Amino acid sequence: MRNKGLTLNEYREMTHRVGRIWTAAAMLLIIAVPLLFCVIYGVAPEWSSFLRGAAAIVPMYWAIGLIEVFNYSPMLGIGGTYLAFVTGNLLNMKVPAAQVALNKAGVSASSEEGEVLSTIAVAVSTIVTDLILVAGLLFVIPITNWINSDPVLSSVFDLSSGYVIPALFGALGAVFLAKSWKIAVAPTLLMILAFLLIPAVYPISGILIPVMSVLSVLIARWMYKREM
Amino acid sequence: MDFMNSAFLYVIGAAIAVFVLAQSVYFLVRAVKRGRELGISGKAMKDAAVSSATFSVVPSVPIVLAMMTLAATIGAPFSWIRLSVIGSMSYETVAAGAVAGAAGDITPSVYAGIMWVMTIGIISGPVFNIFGLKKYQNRLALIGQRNPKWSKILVDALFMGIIAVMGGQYIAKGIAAFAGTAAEKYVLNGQAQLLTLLTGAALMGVFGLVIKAAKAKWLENFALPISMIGAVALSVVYHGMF
Repeated sequence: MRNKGLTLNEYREMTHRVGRIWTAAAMLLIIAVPLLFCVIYGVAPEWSSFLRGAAAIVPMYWAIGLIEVFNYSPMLGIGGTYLAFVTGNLLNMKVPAAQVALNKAGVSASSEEGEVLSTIAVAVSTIVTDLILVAGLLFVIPITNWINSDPVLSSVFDLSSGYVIPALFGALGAVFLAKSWKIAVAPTLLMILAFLLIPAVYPISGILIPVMSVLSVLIARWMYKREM
Repeated sequence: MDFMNSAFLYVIGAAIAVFVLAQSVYFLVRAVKRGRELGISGKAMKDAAVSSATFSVVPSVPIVLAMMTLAATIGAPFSWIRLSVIGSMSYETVAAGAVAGAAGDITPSVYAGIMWVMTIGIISGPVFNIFGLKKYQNRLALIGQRNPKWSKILVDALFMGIIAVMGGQYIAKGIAAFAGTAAEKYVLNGQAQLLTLLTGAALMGVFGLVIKAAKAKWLENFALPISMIGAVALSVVYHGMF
């Protein structure tokens, strides 16, 4: 199909190089935010609250960040991973956006075509969110007042007990259930059972994703070996 | 609390937004060029872009709302910055809460501490990518070459882990809420959330049948966003029922 340009390996190599450069630049930029704040206001961070806050969240977030790379990068491709990990909102935006695009084309992220399509999907998704955030910033005050003044709207859009995330995963679940229901049944039933037996795990359900992904890979492997 | 909404923070926020846009456009252009080299049709690439754009609108709304909620505790520009780069609405909200809770009164020095914690907390993924992603992706590529069929199932199964946890939790929550078997704090809005999940799935199913029956491929791009909007709209009704 190819008639010019880089070979597959050359292209991958180049993607890693530019991905690293952009990621390093992004890191410098976000570290510059608190650094410049300290310089401009002539303050040092208040150490006791800094340490307490850091102890509360840093170990967990570092672990989650690393696990996310292992978990999501196979679905995002190389370019998509570098881009998505700089821009964030993986679970609720970038991973589904890439999966929807790949599923439509019927290719995987590790294929040459998949690498291109998932990068396009992640990039477009990022541009959309970025623009919506800017628009949101302009209307922060009127919109916040409007939503907060309406009890129904504020419950609909609430982060944990609202309805956007169930709507997303209901619609998305239907797509992937139709596509590969065989590998979906066991993990989903297992999860329903776990949540029913131990309701206390609801607030920490995010932590279960990597565990469940590994389990679902093992189940799929077992079925694959038996040609089920 | 003027320092939280200072012009300096808005300026650096704008710089970051421009950076993120520039990076996305760069990767987009690069991918399209590569696609042309490979002979991928313009239509396939346009399809990926359109489906991603239409999909991304609805899940962006809670992110904007998270930004607005955060703005009350840590100021508008920093919450904008945090949600534009490596932002995740759930982590950021928890992080800001944890730090602000530990601090009490927010002085510039306490605020600097909050900014540092939130910044250091979220950089592990990108830092790993700089040093380790190449190795990991090369290994994945090797599996793909050796056994393409299994490689595809492997990725689907990883994604199924997400679907199982996110879908399974709302199903279980709804069952428990209907049956009254779990403490209310765990299953708040459980019934209506389950109905919303099922509505999203049902609408998507109807779209699938219509697309197949009418051979209306163009509808595919709208199926997911419209199913989500429909489910969110009906959630207002469900919310009022319980």
